[in-house]
Parts: sequence; structure tokens; C-alpha cells
Amino acid sequence: MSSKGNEKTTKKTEASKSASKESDDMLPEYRFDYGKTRHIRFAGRREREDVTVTLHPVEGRCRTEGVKGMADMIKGYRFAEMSIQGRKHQKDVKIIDGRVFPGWWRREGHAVDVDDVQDVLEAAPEILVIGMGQAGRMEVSPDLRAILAQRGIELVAEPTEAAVATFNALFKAGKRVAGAFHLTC
Amino acid sequence: MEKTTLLFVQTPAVEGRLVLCRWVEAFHDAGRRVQVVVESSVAAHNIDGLLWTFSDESFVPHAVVASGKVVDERVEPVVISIGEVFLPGFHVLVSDMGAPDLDFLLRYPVGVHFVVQDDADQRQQSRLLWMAARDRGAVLHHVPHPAVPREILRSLSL
Repeated sequence: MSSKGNEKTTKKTEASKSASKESDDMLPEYRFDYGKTRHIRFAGRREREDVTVTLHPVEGRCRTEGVKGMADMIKGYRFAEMSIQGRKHQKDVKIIDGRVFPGWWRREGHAVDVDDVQDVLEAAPEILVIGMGQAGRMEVSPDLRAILAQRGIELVAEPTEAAVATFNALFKAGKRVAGAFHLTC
Repeated sequence: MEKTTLLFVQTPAVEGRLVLCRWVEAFHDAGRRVQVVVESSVAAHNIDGLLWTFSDESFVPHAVVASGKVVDERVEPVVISIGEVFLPGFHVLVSDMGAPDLDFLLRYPVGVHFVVQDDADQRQQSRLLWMAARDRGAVLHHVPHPAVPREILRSLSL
């Protein structure tokens, strides 16, 4: 910026200071006309900039690329509650290709079988992270393990708290990771 | 959808399944179809035997269903299912599992969970289940030990 520009800015600031000298004191009450407000152009932009979506050159699939400073997709987990991208979920939940599918119901509460993750199999991620519940009581059926192995999908099955950390790390690293989380015991 | 009523029934570990049988009997006598969910075939066998023998005066016709089998709800008013398999047409779910799945419990109009009072770990699991169920809007009732199931059902209009 030129010195002329600086002078101009300084003059303007001083001018505005003297103009508002009389109104320096706080008023007991302010009435704003919210009808005249405008959207801030950059509001909400930062979050969108965190994730870059590119087309995979070979398979033609969308993939999320990890970038520096990228926030965790799953913000928090405690018994029966998971916070994902600012939304709280109280029912079991799946994440496929970065999309959240709430209300994951399995044919049997504490067992995961092929039918329970059909949509994950169709999405063909590199890795499937299963949160087995806070106490890790859920079980993965042998059939599902076999199909995942057959299709080259790596399976990580951990108690949910550990699974959340694993999922976040893999997601940030740009892996095509899907998650299926049981939120209670 | 109707809110689930959950009964948290306190019981000492040694009486657990006997208490379970009394609750099943009370619901059955009230004309309700009852599903008892257990973790293993051993537990199913145990409860199956106990339901025939726990009281000289009671008669609770029941059947054991293995995971994946289709149940004809007209056959038996009480079924014991191995694993948390949802059976439509049953009004009450009685859980023999230490830590049942909340989503599964909430699929039934009435659920019964036993709080084993002399097991610290199970008590903690029950506490977490209570809080999660409360957050999900279930109607919760704590039933202290000892209690007469029939009287509780009457007082709660279940």
C-alpha cells in the first residue's frame, strides 16, 4: 500500500473519531433494525474449505483429501451420544463417503451381519471402521468378515471410543473410510 | 409412535431369573405377549426350564426361538429369543441381558431391564442405560426389590 493511501486512511479515521466524539458514551439501550442486516459473505466458508473433494483418477469416485488444520468429522462421543459435524446423534449411525446416515438398525442388536452394512459394501471403501459399543460387546459375523476380506476392504472393529479416534485419523489422512458406530454398550 | 415404558427392576443376582419369571407371568396373566431376550442358548435353556418349574401354581406356555427363525405369534404368547431379534406382535420385551441394546428396547411398548444390585459394573451399565433412555424420551420407572409384579402392573396400568 502507498504512503498516500495510508495518509488517507489516517485522516479518515481521525475525522470519524471527531465526528463521533459526542456519542462515545454507551447508551443504556440500543435498538437495531435487523431488517437492514446482510449476510456476511464469508460466513460458513471456512468449514467448506477444510475438505477438498476431488475425483479419483482411476476409479472415478469422490474422495476426501485430508488437509492441514482439517477438523475431526466426529467431534465427540459418549455413551449413547455422538456428535458429527455439529449434529448430535442418539441412535447408531453410519458414515459412508463422508455422508452421515443416522438410525443404523441391525437385524440383531449386538451383531453386525452382511445385510446390516450392504450400503457400505456397495460404496466399497478402503477401510470399514466398526464401533462395537462402549464396552465392545457387539460381534461381527464370520460371513461379513469373509466378504470384506474378499473385496479387499480392511476391517477395524474396536470399542466405539477407540473406533472414533481411528475413523477421524483415517478420514483426515484422506483414506476412503466408512464408519458404522454402535453408541451404547 | 407410542413412547416406550421401561421398568428398571432391582434384583439381587441370585434371584435374577426367578424374578424374571414372575414378571413374565404377571404380563402373561394380564394378556400381554411377551418376548424374553437372552444372550445364549444356555441362558435360553435355563429360563425355559425355570418358566415351567418356578411356581407350582403358574402356567406360562412358551417357546424358544433361535436367531433368524420366523415366529408365528399365534403359537405361543411368550417366546424366548436368543439374540436381540425384533419380533413384531409382541408387546413386552423382558431382557435377561446385562446390557441390552437401547434401540432394540425402544422398539417395544414396554421393556423390562433388571438392575443387578450386587454387581457394581452392571449397576453402572444400568445407570448409563437409564440416562440414555431418559434422553430418548422413554417413560421410566424404578422398581425396588422386592416387588409384586402384578401390583406394579396394576398401579402403572400396564
